[in-house]
Amino acid sequence: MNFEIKKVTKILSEMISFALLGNAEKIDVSVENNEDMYKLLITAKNIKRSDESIENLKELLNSPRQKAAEEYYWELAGDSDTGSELALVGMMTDEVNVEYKNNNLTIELHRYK
Amino acid sequence: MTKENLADYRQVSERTKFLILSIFPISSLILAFFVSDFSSIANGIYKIIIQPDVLLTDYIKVGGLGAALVNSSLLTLINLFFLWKLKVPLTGLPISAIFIVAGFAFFGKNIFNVWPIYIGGFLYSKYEKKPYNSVIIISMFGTALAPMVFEVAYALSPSSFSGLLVGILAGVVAGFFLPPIAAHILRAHDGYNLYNVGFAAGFIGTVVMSFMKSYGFENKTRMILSTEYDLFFKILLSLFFVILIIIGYILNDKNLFKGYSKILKMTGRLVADFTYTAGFGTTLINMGIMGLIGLIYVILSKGIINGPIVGGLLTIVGFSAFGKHPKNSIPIMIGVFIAGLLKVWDTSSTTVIIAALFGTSLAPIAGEYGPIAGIIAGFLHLSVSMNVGVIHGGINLYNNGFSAGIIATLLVPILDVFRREK
Repeated sequence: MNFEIKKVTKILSEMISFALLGNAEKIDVSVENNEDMYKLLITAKNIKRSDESIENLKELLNSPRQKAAEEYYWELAGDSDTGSELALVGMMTDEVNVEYKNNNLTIELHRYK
Repeated sequence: MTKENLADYRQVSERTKFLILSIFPISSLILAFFVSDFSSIANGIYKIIIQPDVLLTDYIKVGGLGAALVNSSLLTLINLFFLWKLKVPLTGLPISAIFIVAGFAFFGKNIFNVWPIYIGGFLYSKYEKKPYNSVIIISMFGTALAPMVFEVAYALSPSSFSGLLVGILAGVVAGFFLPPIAAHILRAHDGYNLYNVGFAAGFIGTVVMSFMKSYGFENKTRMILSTEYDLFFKILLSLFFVILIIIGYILNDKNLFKGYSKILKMTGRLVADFTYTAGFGTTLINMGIMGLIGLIYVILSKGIINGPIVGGLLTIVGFSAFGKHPKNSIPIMIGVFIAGLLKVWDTSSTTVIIAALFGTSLAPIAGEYGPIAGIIAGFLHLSVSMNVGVIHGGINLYNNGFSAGIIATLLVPILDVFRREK
């Protein structure tokens, strides 16, 4: 069992936690299961997060993909939005795009298979 | 939409990083031939290989200084070669793994007993159809169970070839199952024990040793420690730590503290990769500073540097790229020191000193919950680390990682209760 599906759900769980902790009114999640990658899109409406918190999110999600760290630590992802867990999500994904406008947050993550 | 910060993160080439990490093993190799000759080193390495490796077996005492230095040097260089060939980027995690191998090669890991663990990890990666470069780090940490090879062989038959084969097979099996166990067991302490493989290996070692004892095997723990090379290691290690700081200073645009506040702000909870957060130069500075702090602790405790203490210091240095910094580690050391004063042990003894050095595995508790919580964690850690060794019989070299896992598993939910009420 290579836990691929569990890892994707952990990433989503982490992002949903981040949005809920910011009291988001509505969260939409889209998952594309493509041949070469999982494409995850999370949109959170009317989220109350400071600019510093969003910048921190961007920086941590931009952690480079580290397969060794992922193999070892992936089970830690998913429960809260502490810096270490957001960095872990960064280490489990290859590409990231974070947009924050008018209190609406969009996070797009690509995880190559 | 590629990751934004990669250019900064790759400020130092991989080649340079590998060269920097080769400084200690290459220096050790050269020094070995200054303090000893080839035949003494070869004879010493033979003695290291044929003796049991359970805690505490100081290879400096068993095989001599030259042989211990060569053993550590070769193991470190071979592991660096593996990482290079497998194209594993030298981030915080591999750096910590390299230093833990270098350190424990002074007391328990040798150029013979570690390979079954790697073979097990390699077979696991093949079975799971994963590249080995995603598993090798766990294998490197997993060499904590290297003494099991000898112990199982000895339990079956001290001198037979079949006993040795079963011992090697036991190592392969442990190496195979360690990656999923290590990943799963993280959830118990939630990332607050940096030596997580020590926690996992503690459980594996407990089951293996209990099984062997149930068939009449009598496990003999050891306390073989050298006393002759205290000054040698004080000079060698302090020089190495200062060199790390100097290289870090140069790489950090000749600025000692640029970016250091970023490290100090982090709790250290897994996963905290300082090479990404603060850059490679700042990380080297932190590694050097932490090494010096560990050394000062040993001197203040009136300890004598031997194999296990060298291992403790190098492990601190490695994990200072991956979670440890002065703010979250010193409270743990203080906790262990106070415990040493108030309990039945001597603060200058090797066992208490390594409990303080390796106890910094609990640094994320001080980082997350504050220095008082860190002192409490250190205080409790000494008692547990002094008593859990008996249940795995010393075949888990990361006895303090096992103890720290128990403390973190119990302490974190309690500390969470108080944090919520606050």
